[in-house]
Amino acid sequence: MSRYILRRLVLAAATVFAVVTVVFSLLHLLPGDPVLLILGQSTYPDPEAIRAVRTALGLDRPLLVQYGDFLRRLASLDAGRSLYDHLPVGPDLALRFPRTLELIGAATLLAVAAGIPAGIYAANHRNRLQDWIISAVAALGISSPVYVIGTLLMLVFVLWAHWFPSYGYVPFTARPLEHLRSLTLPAVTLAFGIGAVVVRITRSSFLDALGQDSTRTARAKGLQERLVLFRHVLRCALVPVITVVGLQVGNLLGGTVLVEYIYSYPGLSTFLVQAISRRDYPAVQAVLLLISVAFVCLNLLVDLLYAAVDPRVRYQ
Amino acid sequence: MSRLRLMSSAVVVVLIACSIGATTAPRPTAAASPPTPSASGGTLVFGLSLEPPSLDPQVDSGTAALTVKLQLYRGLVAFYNGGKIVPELAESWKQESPTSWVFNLRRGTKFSNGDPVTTDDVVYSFQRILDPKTGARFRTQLSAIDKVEAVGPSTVRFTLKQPVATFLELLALPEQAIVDQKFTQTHDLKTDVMGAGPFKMVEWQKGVSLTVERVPGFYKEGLPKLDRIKFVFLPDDTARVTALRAGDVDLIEFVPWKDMQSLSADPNFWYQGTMGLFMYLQINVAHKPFDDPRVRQALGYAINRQAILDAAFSGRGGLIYGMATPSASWAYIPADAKYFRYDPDKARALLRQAGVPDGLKVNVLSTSTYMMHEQTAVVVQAELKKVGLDVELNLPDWPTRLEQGLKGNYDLAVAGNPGDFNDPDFYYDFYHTGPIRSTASPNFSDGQIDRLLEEARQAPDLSKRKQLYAQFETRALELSPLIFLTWREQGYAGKKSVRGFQNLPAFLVIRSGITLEETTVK
Repeated sequence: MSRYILRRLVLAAATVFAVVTVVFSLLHLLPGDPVLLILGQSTYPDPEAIRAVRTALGLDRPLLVQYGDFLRRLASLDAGRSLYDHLPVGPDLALRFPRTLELIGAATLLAVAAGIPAGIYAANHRNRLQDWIISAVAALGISSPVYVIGTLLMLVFVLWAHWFPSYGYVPFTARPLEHLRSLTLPAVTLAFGIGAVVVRITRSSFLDALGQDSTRTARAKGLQERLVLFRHVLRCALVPVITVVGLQVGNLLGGTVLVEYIYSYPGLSTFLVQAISRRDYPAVQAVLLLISVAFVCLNLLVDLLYAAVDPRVRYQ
Repeated sequence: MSRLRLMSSAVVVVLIACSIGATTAPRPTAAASPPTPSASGGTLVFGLSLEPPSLDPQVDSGTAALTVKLQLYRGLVAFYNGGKIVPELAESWKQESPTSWVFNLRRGTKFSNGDPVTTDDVVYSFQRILDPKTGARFRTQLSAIDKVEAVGPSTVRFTLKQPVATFLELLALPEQAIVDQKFTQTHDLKTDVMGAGPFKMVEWQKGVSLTVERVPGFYKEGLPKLDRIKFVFLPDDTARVTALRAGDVDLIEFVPWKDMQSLSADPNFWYQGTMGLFMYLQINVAHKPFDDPRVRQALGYAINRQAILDAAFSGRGGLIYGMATPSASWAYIPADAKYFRYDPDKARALLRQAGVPDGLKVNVLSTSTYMMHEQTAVVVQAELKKVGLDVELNLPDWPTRLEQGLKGNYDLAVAGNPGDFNDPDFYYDFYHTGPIRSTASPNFSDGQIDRLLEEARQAPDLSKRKQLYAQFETRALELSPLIFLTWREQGYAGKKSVRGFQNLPAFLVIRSGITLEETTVK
């Protein structure tokens, strides 16, 4: 097992290295010059100023030298400094990454907490009215983009009902309740999409598991129906659900930008999009590195969860 | 199973850690803040369209940042209500000769750390602007300054290389802010602030908000009226309007065009719009057949400006069928503003005269980052198709658009700009021979236009300047290196309880933030 994990870790490190190298070269190949953006957009670009700023930022050095510099910094876990304010990027990430993780975490919890029971319920009432309603809602959830759901929730719960603030982020330690209030709508918006997938997968894999021989055997030996469902069927059915949830969460890393925009939530995705639109190379590199590391970790976690849920995986 | 439990508790720990990590400590500022003065003015929450990328007052970092900087910094003079120039750190000034200006500093003005504003600071501030390393917004225009020197305990003299008719206007732009020499030499003004404005920065929560607090003893009696302004960053147009409607913010900038009508009709809000920028076409005159003025003029007749206004700006703004001189300007000539008209037949005739083949491929550069730029380009495409030009749109993201624009990689480019100020000298940037830039048409150069613009910049009296600009406009329309399209409305909206905020006229509208010092909120 430890050998397996070690191999996975080496592979993961190689993946991350490949990602950062690709990101570095793609970024610098991308047209668009950060110096022009730094000097302002409505202006007459002063060639002398362009030269001066380019030199100050070290962007006049050969690309390979910049790449070496980038790797050296990486080795010492230094995220570098923004081309804009010259402040280290690290603190920005430390601030924003947890916010996005919290948002994704909350959305996933909501989605799982609502999606799994709903999926089971639908499976148990297959082809009855309850099943149709749940499946219809899930289909709607999958096919509605977050900006539609987000805008609707905003209209109803912010503009009409005034239950939630229209923007903003309140640190947990400052006002815990306000913090949760500001987190609710973004989390619910994201949860719709994930929850809908969870419902569908749970329903189908639960139905699958219900039809298996092991279930028939469990019933035949006279086990209570509750035990059959929860100890045998559910556990079997959970493996695909975990896979799907893992994939969904992975997609959300760096993919929460629409929700963050709609609710003006200061997370990592907004930061990434802003950094790209400014060609702030160090910031983009740092965020993508972080996201790819997180993605790799997530995959590792999913693998371990399989083992926890399904003993067969453990013994393989 | 125990492993599962272990893992779920690990998840809980991570979540808690996240919440703690998510808190932001207030940014330490250079000066410890004294206790808040008795709350009478209250706090205004301002919905900003962008987090300031930098707070360096002398460098351009966009309109949103400018509004914040106007609270923190002041120059010698400033544009104020109605566009008039008022004394700020200077209490009086005199033009001693065409090339020499003397400014007397107001006594007792201080930076927010209590340091007095000295003549040394003024001299240093202009040296900093003229240093290319600063990347100051108006370095080129101010490079006419030969010497800045202190000539008395509170007097500064500017000696110019040649007369500049708009020298006072240039100094009134907020980018000519006076900075604290001692502080600036040891701090980075991109993030650290030390100005002599009515407010000082007390907190900057990255990605969330920036709060400024009034400086007691600001040199204008009774100002500012507010105790605090909290700028919150709401980059999404809809989110910004929603925040205003929900009552969570008091005032917003960059009101989206689609919401202007409904906000001005709403009894709970006020809306102020100003035609503060113009949309136009830059033409690369080195690319055939656009070297021929007839072809450029044909563009002036071919495009229905109303269609652009409707498609890109929800009908808000104004049509420009000639020059873009603001109608309130002394240089405004009604006939020049209506030089063209929408007349596709005339356009086709001009193209035929110039021997342009039907179906000629034309490359138009715009950007998909801003809907209005894209929509304008799409209308231009449709309109030019009607006169037989086959437009290929090039719509990269903004940074690429900027770079390609500065390389002149286009036949036509859709652009939107304000003039620096309402004086027609702003045309200098748009028509004078020079490097390829984001204002003028690439490779356009006309000796007569250059001479007229230079003379008008240096001419001492208004009637002479008026005459020169009239000649310039005639020539500019004849050659038409730029085709102006529409005025773009720039709007602010606020709750009815917010009073005193006032749009500055025409191009100065993006500098309206200065009137926040007179703004009150009930």
